[in-house]
Amino acid sequence: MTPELTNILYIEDEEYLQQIVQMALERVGGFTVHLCIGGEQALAELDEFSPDLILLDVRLPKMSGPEVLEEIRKCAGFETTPVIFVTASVMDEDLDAYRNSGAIDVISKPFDPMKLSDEIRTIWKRHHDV
Amino acid sequence: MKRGEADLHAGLFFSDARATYLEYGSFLTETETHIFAHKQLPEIEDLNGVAPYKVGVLAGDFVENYLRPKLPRGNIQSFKTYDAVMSALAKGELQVFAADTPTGIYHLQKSGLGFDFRFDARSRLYRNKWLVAAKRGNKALIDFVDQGMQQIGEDERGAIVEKWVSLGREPIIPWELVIYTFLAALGLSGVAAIIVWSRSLKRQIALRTRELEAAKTEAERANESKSRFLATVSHELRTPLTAIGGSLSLISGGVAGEVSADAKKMIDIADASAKRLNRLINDILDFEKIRSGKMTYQFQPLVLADLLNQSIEANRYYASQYGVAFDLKTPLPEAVIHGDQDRLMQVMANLLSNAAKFSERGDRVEIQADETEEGIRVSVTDQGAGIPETFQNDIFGEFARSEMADLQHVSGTGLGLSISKSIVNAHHGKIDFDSEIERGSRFFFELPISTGPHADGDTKGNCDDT
Repeated sequence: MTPELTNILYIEDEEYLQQIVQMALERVGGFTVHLCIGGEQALAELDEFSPDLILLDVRLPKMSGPEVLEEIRKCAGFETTPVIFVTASVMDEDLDAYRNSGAIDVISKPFDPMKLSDEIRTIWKRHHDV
Repeated sequence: MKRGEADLHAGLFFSDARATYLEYGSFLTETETHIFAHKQLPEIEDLNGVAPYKVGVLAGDFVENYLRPKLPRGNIQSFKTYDAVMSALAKGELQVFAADTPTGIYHLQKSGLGFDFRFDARSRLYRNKWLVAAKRGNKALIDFVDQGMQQIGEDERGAIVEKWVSLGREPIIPWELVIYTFLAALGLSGVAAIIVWSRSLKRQIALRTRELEAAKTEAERANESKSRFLATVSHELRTPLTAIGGSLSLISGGVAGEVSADAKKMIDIADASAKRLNRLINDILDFEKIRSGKMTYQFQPLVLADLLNQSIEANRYYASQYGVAFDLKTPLPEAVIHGDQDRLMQVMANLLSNAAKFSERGDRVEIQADETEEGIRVSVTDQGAGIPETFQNDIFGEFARSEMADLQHVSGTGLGLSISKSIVNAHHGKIDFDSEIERGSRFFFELPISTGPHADGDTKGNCDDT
């Protein structure tokens, strides 16, 4: 039985992408979206927002995406929260590395925001089916 | 040396006048000075014989001072350099000149006049010693050179003289002998030249090898830096492109509210252009991945009919843009191939978009799947203008674009078919085409039923096309 997906935390330093993804996920997908500009803010606000799923940009200033993920895993209650990386890299070795670092999948930029919600639901379902 | 521009002269005749400002040192060798005359002139037996002619000399040379008291004033013409003497001889302005024998022969040979002038025992003016000379007062330098000269043994000295002034040692030199000597020397020096040449060749090879190794290292470094550059640029391009395409997609999808029909039209143009830009970037990145051997494949069993239907669906956009119809024939519903879904979709996208781009509006593009002896063949056939023969050999090359593509303003990097070929090769298949001018083209790729080592669940393999 797949649990319901409602709250999505999006960690992204590009403000334009934040706005686009928020609009796409809220209006097209019907999710509730919380935005953070980096790892520090996200770690501080994790408990408050309590996300079902985290969308995590790989290239972030200060802490990188994989580093943020490592920190999230240390937070009580978020040891297994599904994380999807978002990256503009196309190198297969990078993509493999992100998948193997504890994320359930990787979404590549550029993505179509009209299809983003469906894509996330598919990944979510597949993750819980396994 | 008078002007102080030189400190030492290797060989000068001695004269009392010169001794007033020069310090003479070791005896180097003896040589002669001759009158050189054009061979068409009557033989000159003594100084009286030169009376009808002007005698060219080097200004300030020993021979000038020797001749001055012996000949009428107008008989002597001074030149600043031997090159000027030779030039006057070549032009016929001068037919006689006087010089030390080795010097005269050297300059005649150098200027290609060697066979036109002669000298012999009768035209000899005098014999004199060549001495090392320095500026007066510079005795220390002369002593130093003398010490050095004394270290040179008789044999060695003989060899040096032989090499540099040998002709001067022979008092009578018939011109023929000069020629034969010259030719013999040429032969000997030929042998010497071959030895020297082969040695120098070895050195050059070693040098070139080092240069090539350095160039190779440099090229590898440049290549690596280019790959990094591409990866960075593409990352920086793809992030804003996500924002542009994303915004347009949301507006076009009506998520951002209602837009007027005109605005919608403009948005669609911008959206299509952003997608096109994205495809170009992807092509360049794929190209770079293939070149650097970083293209990887996820092989899995694929239902061919599904793959073809999905490809056609994903490329409908081209059909509508260029007003053509995609028509799928005999999709072989049972056929299963082993391949990388995304990469094979990419090959299909390339063939379908090319077919659409090079078709007339209203044309049909036929997609067909056939079983062959080796496996399965997928072909895409258009009714376009065909491929010019001059372009057919280059079509799978990198950045290959036909003149027709330029004429028709068809967009593309010219990388699509090159990438497709690499992908098909990595599936152990082959890609090819046939084409007829004004009748159309058929592109096809064939995949084996079993794709070798990738067939049994191997999910990853490097592209083996180089």
